[in-house]
Amino acid sequence: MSTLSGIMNTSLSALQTYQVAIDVTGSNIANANTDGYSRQTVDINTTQTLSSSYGYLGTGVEASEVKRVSDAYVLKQLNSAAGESGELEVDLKYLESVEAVLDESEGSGLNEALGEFFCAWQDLANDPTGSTERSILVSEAEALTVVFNDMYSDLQEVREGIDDDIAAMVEEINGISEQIADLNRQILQAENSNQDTNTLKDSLDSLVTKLSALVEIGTYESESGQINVQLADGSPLVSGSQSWSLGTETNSTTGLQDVTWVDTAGNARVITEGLTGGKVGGALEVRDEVIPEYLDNLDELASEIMEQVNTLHTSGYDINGDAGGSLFTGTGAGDMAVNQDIIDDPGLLAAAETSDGAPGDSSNAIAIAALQKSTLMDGGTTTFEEYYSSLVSAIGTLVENTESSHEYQSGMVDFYNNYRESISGVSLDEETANLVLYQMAYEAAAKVISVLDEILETVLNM
Amino acid sequence: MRVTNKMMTNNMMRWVAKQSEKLNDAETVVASGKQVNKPSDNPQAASQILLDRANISLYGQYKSNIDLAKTWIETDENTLDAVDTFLEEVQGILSQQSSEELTKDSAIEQLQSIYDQVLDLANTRYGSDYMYSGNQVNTTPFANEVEISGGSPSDIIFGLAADASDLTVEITDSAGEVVRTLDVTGGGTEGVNTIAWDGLDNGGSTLTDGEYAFSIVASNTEGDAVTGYPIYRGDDGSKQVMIGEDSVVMIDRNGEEIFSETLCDLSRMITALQSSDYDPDLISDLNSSMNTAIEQMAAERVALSNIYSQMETVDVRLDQVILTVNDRLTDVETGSDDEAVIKLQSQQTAYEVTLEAAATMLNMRKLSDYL
Repeated sequence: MSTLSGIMNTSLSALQTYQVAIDVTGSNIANANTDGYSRQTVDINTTQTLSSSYGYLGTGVEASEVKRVSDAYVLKQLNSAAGESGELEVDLKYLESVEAVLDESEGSGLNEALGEFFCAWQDLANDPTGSTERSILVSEAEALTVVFNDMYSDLQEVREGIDDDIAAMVEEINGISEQIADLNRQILQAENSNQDTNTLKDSLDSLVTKLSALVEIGTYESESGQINVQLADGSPLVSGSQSWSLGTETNSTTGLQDVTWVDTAGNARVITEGLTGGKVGGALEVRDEVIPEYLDNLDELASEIMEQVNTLHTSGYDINGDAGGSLFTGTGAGDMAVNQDIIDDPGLLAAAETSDGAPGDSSNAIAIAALQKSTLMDGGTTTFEEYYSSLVSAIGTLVENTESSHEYQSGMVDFYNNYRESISGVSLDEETANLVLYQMAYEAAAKVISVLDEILETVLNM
Repeated sequence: MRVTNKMMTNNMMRWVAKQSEKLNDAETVVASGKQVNKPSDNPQAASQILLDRANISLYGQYKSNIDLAKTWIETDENTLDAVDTFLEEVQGILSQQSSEELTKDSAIEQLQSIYDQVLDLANTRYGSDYMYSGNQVNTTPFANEVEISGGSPSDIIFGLAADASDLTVEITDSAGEVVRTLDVTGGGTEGVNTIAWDGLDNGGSTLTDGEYAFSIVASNTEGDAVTGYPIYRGDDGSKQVMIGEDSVVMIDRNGEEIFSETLCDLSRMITALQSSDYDPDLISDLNSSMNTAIEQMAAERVALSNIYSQMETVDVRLDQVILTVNDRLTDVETGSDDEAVIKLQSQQTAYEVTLEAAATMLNMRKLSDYL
C-alpha cells in the first residue's frame, strides 16, 4: 500500500541519490586534469520493492556504490612499458655521452692523431738527420698519447657520472617505497572503517608506475587493495605497510657504487647483479658492460700500437748509431706516454736499421711508418685506423638503435597512457551531459515532493 | 573508444614536441653544412668518413715525399751534368796536349783546376747532408781526414797516383797548425795506402779527440811529384723514398761508384804529365778511361731520370685518387645543400601545421558552451 510518507521517502531517496551523483560528477569535473585520476561513477540502483495489494511498488532509488573506473590489465602493461622506456631513456642519455667522447665529426681526434704520428715517421725518413723532423715527430707522438689518455679518462668520467646518478635513483626508489607503504596502511584503515579508498588507490597506481620506470618490479594486489612490491630478484620492497630500503656501498675492486638491499636488522646485501630494467637497470648496464667494453677496446688498440712501434724502435738505431730504446711507456690507453729520454733528446729516435747505417739510413723509420697500413688488429685483419673507425660506427649504431627503440617504447607508453585515459579519464562533455541528466531528475523528484506538499495541504484542509 | 580532453591535450603536446625535435635536426644539418654531425646520424658513413680522411692525409704525405725526392734528384742531375761537362773538357785538354796545342804545364794547371772542382762536386751538400756519402750523410765523402775517438786514432787512408819512394804525411788541427809530421819509411804504393799511427803530436803527447786533416807530399825516385787523392769514406746506403703503401724507391748516392774512379784517373793524369818519364801510352789509356767514366755518368743519369718519371706518374695518380676520395667524402658528409634546405622548409611547414592543429583543438567548444 502506498502511503504519503512512502512517496515522500521515495522522492527523498531520489534527491539524496542524485545529490550524490551530482557530487561525484562535480568531483570528476574538478579532477578533469589531475594526473592519475580515475573517474568515478555512481551505481544507481532501485531499492527493494514492497508488495502491496496493487502489486509490487518501488521504494525509490539508492546510490549503492561509488565505483572507480580502472583497468588493472592496462596499468600492468603501462608499468611494463614505463620500465622499458625508462631503461632506454637512461641508456640513450649515457650512450650519447660515450658517443661524444668517440665523436670525430669535427675532425680532430684519435683518427687524425694516428695519421699525423705515422706521417711524421715518413717525414723523418725523408731526412733522418733533420732536427726539425725529429722534434715534430716527438710532438706528434706526445699528441697521440694525450688523445688516448683523454679519451680513456673521459670514458671513466662518464662512468663516475653514472655512479652519482645511481645514488640519486636509489634515494628516489626509497622515497617511493616508503610512500607506497604509507598508502597501504591508509587503505587498510579506510577499508576497515568503510571510507573512500578511491583517491588512495589512484595515488598508489601512479607511485607504482613511477617506481616501474625506475627499476623492474613485480607487484601483487591484495584483497584489501594494498599493493606489495618486490624487485626482479625477489627482494621485497613493500609488503603491506612495511617498506625496505636500498643503499649504496663502494665496491673495493672497481671503486664504483654497488646497490644493496637492507633488511630489517640493518644488514646490507649487494644486489647489483640482480637489478634489471628501469632507469637503474639501464644505468648499471651502461656503466658495467658497455663502457668497460669500450675501455678495453681502447686499451687493446693503444697497447698494440705501443708494442709494434716499440719492437721496431728497440731494434733500430738512433742518430748516433746507438740502439733505440722504447718509444712509448705504459700499459694501455690510460697511462700511455712517450719515453721521457726521447722527449729530452729527439736524437734518440731510431730511424736507422743498423748501427752502421746511422745517421742517414731511414729503413727503420720507413718500417715504422708502414705500420699505419699493416693489418695488426682483430687477429691480423684490420689496420689501426679501421679498428678505431669500427669502434666509432659501433657506438653510432648502438645509439641509433637505442634511439629508435626508445622512440618505439615511449610510443608504447603513450599508447597505454591513452588507453588508460580512455578508460579512466574524465570527459567533460560526458560529465556535463550527466550533470544535466541528474539535475533534471533532481528537479523532477523535487517536483514530486512539491506535489506531495500540495496533496498534504489538501488533505489537511479537508 | 572514449576520448577525453586530457588525451587530446597530451597527444597534441607530444606531436608538437616531436615536430620541434625534427625541426631542430633539420636546422642542425643546414647550419653545420653536414649530414653526419655525430656517428649515430649515419654509423656506416661516419666510419667511412674517418677512413677517407685518413687516406687523403696519407696520399698527401706520399705526394710530399715525392716532391722532396724530385728536388733531390734535380740537384743530383745538375751535379752529374756538371761533372760530365768537366770530363769532356778533360778529354779535350788531353788531345790538345798530345797534339801539342797546349803546353804540359798549362795542361797540368787546367787538369788540377778540374780535379778540384770535381772533388767539390763529389762533396756536394744538400741542406746540411752530404749527397754522395751513402748513409754517412755527416761524413765528407772524399776528404783527407783522420779521426781520433775515445783516444784511439783511425788509420790514415789515401790514394796515390803512382808508386812514391818518398812519402810524408802532415797532420793539421782545426786551426790549420801542423801538429804531426810523419815520414813514412818505404814510401807508398800506387793505389790505396793505409797507414796506422799513434795519435801523438810532434812532441810525443796524445792529441785530443776530434777530426784532423792531413796532406800528402810524395815523390818518386826521379824526384817527380806524385799526387794523392782522397779515398771514399761513406757507405753504399741508398736514399729511400716512400711513395705508396708498399712502394719504396731507392736512389743511388754511393760516391764510390760515381766519383772514385774519376778522381783516381784525374790524379794519375796529373802525375803522368808531371813525370819526367813521359809515357804517351799511359796518357791514351787514361783518355779511354775517361770515356768509361763519361758512360757511367750517363747511365747514372738515365737511372735517375727513370726514377723521376716513375715518381711523376705516381704523383699524377695520387692527385686523381685524392680527388675521387674527396668527392666521395663530400657526398657522404655534406650531401646536397639544396636537399637540406628543402627538408628544413618542409619541416618548418609541418611544424606550423601542427601548431595550427593544436590551436584549433585548444579552442574547441565544449558541451557546456551550448547549454
